[in-house]
Amino acid sequence: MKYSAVIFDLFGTLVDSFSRPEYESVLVEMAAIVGIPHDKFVRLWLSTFQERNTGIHPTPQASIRYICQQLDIVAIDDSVERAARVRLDYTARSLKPRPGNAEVLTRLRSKGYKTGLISDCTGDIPMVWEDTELAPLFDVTVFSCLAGIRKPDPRIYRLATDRLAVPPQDCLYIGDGGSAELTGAARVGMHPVLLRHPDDSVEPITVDREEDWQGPVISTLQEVLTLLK
Amino acid sequence: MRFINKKYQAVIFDLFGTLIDKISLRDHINTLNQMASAVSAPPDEFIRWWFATFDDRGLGVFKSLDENIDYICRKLGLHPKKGQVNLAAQINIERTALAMRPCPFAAELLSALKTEGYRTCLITNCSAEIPGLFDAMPLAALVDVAVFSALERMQKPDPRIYRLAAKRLAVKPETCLFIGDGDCNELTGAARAGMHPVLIRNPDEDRADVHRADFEGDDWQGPVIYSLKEALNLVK
Repeated sequence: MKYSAVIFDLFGTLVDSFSRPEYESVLVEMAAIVGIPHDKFVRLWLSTFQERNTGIHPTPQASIRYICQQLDIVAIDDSVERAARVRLDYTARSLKPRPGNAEVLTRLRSKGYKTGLISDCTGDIPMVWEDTELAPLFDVTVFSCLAGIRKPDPRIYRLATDRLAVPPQDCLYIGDGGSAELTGAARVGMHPVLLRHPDDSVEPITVDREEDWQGPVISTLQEVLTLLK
Repeated sequence: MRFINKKYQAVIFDLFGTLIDKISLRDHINTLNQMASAVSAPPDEFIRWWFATFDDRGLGVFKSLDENIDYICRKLGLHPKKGQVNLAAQINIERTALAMRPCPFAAELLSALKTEGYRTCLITNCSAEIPGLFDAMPLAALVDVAVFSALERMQKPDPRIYRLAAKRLAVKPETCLFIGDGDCNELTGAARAGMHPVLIRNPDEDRADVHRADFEGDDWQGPVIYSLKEALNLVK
């Protein structure tokens, strides 16, 4: 076998990226529950992206309390919990694998490949992860909000390979190129492949996308199976 | 392989600050703050209870970090959801995993010792999640016997933990060299069990950034080394 493990990004790769209109309408609903003008709530929420992705605000509750504090609004426990629940429900709904993706993971494992996930994400993802269809299909998961570091930091990739007990050189890395993840994967010695999904044209929420990627490209996850041959 | 005229049969190491880096106190406090936030606990109170349950962790009183965090929350009158407690536990585990990096020359030293026919071992005072994290490190394959306090429900400097290590190594304590950075009176404990203790001192250590408990390095009168490289000379 050319590779012994395949490591995946989550959003935009295994599941759709958050769509901006839907993402913001959830925030508007949360703002109403805690009694904060939605424009202020959305602005503060979006400005604390880094804090959520590195665990400084580990839960939606923490982000909501932070926003209340910034606006000198008393956070009522019950409202905070209800607003957090809205976000957690949305997150759980968003973690549906794209059609055919779960089958690809199952096929990989039946062929003896180990599977890993490295995601730059917020604390609500690991909070609902175990209940998703994807969870049992992975040998190893690494979430930035738990590790406190984000892609393309080399340490986040090594956390995955150490646990898989495979050298990075034996890993294929599949991602939609957010967070400069492909460059980061290449830097630690993995073999990165860009997944450019045809549905990705509609304003998804992604950051630092590698638009000028010159390496290998696939357009569906099923193509991973041919890359391994 | 040389089996004759050897002063020692086995070399036993401490883990944190000896074979792998000491955890940065600043990073650790940062992690504890985020754990507190995950369970919506006041950070100062949470941290105070975290340090107050240090020995309970080392003695395996809590079977998991979740149990430890739950206990602290109850003490603080909080009732976080299971998901929040687990998130706090996972934050701790991931940060610890990142911080567990081998010290310079650790892998080379362990390989060299094994090639020379010495048995290798570690004894660490640690909580219940450390064995799993250590086993994922490439270093684990170079250690013949690993003794974790939380699993054995006893800690250094209890002489029994050293004797247990010797027993598993199938050697006498008198034939064991013990190398540690001197926390928890581990050198005195090793001597009391009949082993030959050596202090390892990291000259580059930022002393404001390490958490030490029962540190005996400052008035240690026995042998001292300043890097793992020197350890090979000790067994010759």
